[in-house]
Amino acid sequence: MGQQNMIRVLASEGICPDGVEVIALAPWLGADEIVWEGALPLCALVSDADMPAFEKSALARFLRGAGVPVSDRLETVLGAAVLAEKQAAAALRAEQAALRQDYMRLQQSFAETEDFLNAAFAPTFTCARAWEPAGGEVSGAVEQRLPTGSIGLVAVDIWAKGKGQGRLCFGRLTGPDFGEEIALESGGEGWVRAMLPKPLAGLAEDVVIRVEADFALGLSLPIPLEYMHATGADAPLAMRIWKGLPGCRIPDMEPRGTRYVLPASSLPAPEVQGGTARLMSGRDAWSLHPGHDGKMDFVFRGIEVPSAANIAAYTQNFGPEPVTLSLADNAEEVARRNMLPPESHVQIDMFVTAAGTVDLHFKLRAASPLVSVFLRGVEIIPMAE
Amino acid sequence: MIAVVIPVWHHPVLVDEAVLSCLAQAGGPEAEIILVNDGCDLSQTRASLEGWAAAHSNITLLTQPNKGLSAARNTGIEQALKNPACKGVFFLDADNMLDPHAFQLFEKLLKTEPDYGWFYPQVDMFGMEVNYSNGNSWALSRLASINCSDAGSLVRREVFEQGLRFDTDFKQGFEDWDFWLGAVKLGFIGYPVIESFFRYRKRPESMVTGANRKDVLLRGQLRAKHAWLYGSNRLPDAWNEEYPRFCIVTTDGRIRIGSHPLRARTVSTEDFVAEVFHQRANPAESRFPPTLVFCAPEVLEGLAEAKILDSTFYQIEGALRHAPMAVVDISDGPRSIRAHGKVVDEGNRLLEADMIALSMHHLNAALDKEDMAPIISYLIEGATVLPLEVSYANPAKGGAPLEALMEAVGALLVSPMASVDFRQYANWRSPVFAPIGKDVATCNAGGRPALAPLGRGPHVGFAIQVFRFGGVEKCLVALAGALQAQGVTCHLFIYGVDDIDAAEWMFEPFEKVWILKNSALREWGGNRYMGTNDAEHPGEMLMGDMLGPLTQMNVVVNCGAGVLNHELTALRPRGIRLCAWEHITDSTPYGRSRGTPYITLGYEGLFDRIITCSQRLATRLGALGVPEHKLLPLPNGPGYEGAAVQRPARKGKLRIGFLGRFDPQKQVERFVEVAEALRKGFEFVLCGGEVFGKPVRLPDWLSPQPPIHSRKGLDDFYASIDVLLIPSRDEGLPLTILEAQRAGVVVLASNVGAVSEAVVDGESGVLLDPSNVVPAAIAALQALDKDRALLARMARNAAGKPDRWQQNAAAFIESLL
Repeated sequence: MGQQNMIRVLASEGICPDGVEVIALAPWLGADEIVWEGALPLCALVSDADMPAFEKSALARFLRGAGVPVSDRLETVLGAAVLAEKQAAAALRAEQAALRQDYMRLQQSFAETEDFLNAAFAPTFTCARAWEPAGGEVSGAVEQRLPTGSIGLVAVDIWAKGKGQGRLCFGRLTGPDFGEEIALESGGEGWVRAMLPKPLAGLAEDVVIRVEADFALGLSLPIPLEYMHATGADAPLAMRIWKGLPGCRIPDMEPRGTRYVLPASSLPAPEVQGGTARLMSGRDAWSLHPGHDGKMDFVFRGIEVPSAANIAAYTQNFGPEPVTLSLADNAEEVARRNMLPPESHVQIDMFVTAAGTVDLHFKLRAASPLVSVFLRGVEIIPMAE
Repeated sequence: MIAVVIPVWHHPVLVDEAVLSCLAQAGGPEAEIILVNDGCDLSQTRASLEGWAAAHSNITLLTQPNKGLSAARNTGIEQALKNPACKGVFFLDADNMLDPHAFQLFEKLLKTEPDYGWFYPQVDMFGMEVNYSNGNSWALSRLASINCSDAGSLVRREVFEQGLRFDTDFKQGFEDWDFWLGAVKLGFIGYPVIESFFRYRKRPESMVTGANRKDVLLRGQLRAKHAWLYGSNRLPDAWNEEYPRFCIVTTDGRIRIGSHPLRARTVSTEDFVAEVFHQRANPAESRFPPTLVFCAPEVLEGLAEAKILDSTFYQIEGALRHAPMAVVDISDGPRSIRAHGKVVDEGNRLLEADMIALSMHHLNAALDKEDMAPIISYLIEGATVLPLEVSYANPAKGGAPLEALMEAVGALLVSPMASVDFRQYANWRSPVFAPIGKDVATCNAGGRPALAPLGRGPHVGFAIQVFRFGGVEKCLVALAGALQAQGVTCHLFIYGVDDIDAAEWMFEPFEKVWILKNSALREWGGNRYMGTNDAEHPGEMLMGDMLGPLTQMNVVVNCGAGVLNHELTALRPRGIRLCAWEHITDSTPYGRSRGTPYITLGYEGLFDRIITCSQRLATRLGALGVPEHKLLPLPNGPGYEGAAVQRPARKGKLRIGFLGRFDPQKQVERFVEVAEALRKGFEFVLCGGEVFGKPVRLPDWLSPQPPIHSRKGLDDFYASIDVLLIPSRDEGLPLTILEAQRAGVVVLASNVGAVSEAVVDGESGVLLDPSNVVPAAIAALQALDKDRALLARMARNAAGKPDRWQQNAAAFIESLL
């Protein structure tokens, strides 16, 4: 199977200098079908005597088609080959330099993009899928196929049915796993997070998680796809699948006195007056469209706040027209109106003075119904009372 | 051990990534990487490949003159097969890549999936990054429609050992598609690998290189080569099996899924619910039927007994092209299936319907409403509905289908699956909606296939426009009966607009009856050929609906459904033999001959045989240009079975009868004229009615009997007369003559058409001069009245003929099957 890396030539008898591997020309001259195994000869050295037969042969057509030079002097061919290699090497160095520059520009652009996203208040994570617990459970070694591709995958939350420890790995159906096993610790029934050091990158692949824990795992509602069922169950694991950009911040699972984010998928369905609100699960955002008069009121009820806090709503105006949006904790209050310019990200704030349950009343006003606003989530930022 | 074959031409740089992806495998079997330089004229290619070959002992480099991708892969295959340890070959094009775990996966697949000949990847593209699903399950009809199996596939050694190679004639593309179809022909099937392992480099240029322009030509090349699939029932049968067309919910709680109501598999309510929600989440991967039908089980049984079950479901399916819902009202009457041309906004029609059909698309839209009340409201009140009317004798109706619909929706809503946002479990790869049904129809003469494969053949289909108790119909039934007795299965296709008015026994020889009623099927306003207007083309959709079920036949006999002639040639590539059956020419009021035989002459090249009802018509068509070998004269016999009657000589007044339509062709006026002249010495019996032409004025004393539609009625009628008078202006070879002769009745007939083939003047009846019918008839009747012995002798001579139809069937089989 292997090929030898050496100079070899196809040559008429007695025409080639010593020290070169010579393949006799004569046997090839009569060949009709040519499949050459291994490296092609550097050149064909053809004597005057063989030249007439060579010119008529399939071999001549084959060699010329493959760019193998035909000559009667090896030195000429070698000189040309060396020159060509030097030129090719120089060109390659030039291309490498250009690629290095491109790579640096790419890095710089990426950093700028990150800065822009941060400045635009856009969340750097998204809950790609959320399968809520439905009461069932499964225990032992459990494999669960994920319904998402691998790109950007950074964490999954699984539902622990009790206290205990375990481990989870992100893997392929066949082949090596993605990274090391992740230790799990559950303090009781609730979500347990397994987080990769950084989101998966590269080309999209199928992903499974494999879990072994001494606590039972909660199941979600049954779904019709058997290949999405957890091992030994007729439903998938209850899961939240998180995706993000490299280096992103992932929200805490439970309020712990520090700021945390409720992504759109974690907010309750809003009550809407005028217009429509639809959860875009693939993008983890509420898509909001006002009614024909450009007006829309909507309220998310029952948002738990652990203390006095600033509540920031992250919004994005996709439309070609400006929109005003206000946020208050009741329907009557005249809240400050925030302008959302076309194609903008805007953070809208509200302050609550004490712990408890709060309703988030939004009023959206636009000149026409031709606007499209995304609400990507709200961030709860505890403050001193 | 496996081999990876990498053909290289003009990818001197990108091939590095391909090779590197093979060398960077994380485990798996030993592999030989075979680089095939397909005569690339770039020195860079040569340098690259020779460098790789020099550096790695498991890389083999082969160089050949440029012959194209297929030949390069074939060269690699030959190299791979030299090693007896090689279990399979993977084809990696030079600009594509493998994932690091691919070889591990290959080893597992070769070991654990022995039933599959090859393993094909998901369509995971890089460059222009897109991920498409390969469908996640094998289906031949899908592969026939789109090349869902990328060339980047692992192929078992056994496939090559059967001699299969890439066809070097496919130089513009589709060589891999051709290869997979070739593998299927050899008995192998493919395995869609659901996990990623292969990366296809997608560049914008690949979208503009004219692939679409070439697509039509290449598909033509592919379909011609694989006629075993595209030009046969193999593809429709596979489609029916792989993609069920109906979900049938009956009022007894049974749920069936399948393409044919009586062959569908029964599923539990749980499975039904799961399949519906699977369809909502992953419509391109789901095999859930696009049409749901709700009815009582008695309705299915009744339709099957009437032999119109297939046709009814076929039309229901067709109706849902025009409206999201269809309702079927079933009534007692002659067989009929009629779809209204217009949809109506009358959801309340569902309340009284005997069958309700809705598209899965409509159900999906309703289920988006989430709660029972708005779902039902959307399904019923807001629906546009296409009504169908079906009738057959004594239909049993059973429970209300609306209740079955409610129960099915209820089962969907109470399922825990209804609480899950189905987008949460949608495949993360984009679906590929292959137009499989459309492509199957394209290859099926342009029409949707019938619902299920037929049983043992051969199968003969008779297509006719009008099906009543007429002579042409009785000939058709008689021949079908005789064919059936000789082992042929016959099917009846009634494609017209008129009501069917035929006796029950006339359907007996047919396994299935297909009915399509549409006013466009009787439009004789097309171009004139030899002075006779052709039928108009009814439009592609209607034509497809007619031709689709005909593709299952071995022979199609067109008995005057002129509209079919326009596209009947679409059946020819299927190996179906085509016939026309001609009976009669007519005369215009000015005496010019016209009729469907002339139209058939215009389509003569289309037909393998032209059947005639008489030798005389065959001779005439031969004289008009039909080659002799195409003519198949099947002279008529009596239109139904019966024994010959030998009558004693009769005394008393002779009874003279007329049987037939009161129209210009039959010339009942001449009969009346004769009757008026002889009424004192004879008795006259008139039987029939007006069909075409102006009303006939009859004398008060000659009140007609209504038309006869039963065999017994005919027997009684013939038994009641001594002489049958046929004073027609035009005739073929009338069945009434043959039936009357068998019954011992002497026939007096005007000597037109092929009447003389049945009546030998003076021996078995009397032939009347067509230009002098009335005086000749009067004279003949008076002579017979006087010479009763002659009358009896003529009756005996006529009654002794053998049954023609068994002979005709034998001739038909010999000539066409």
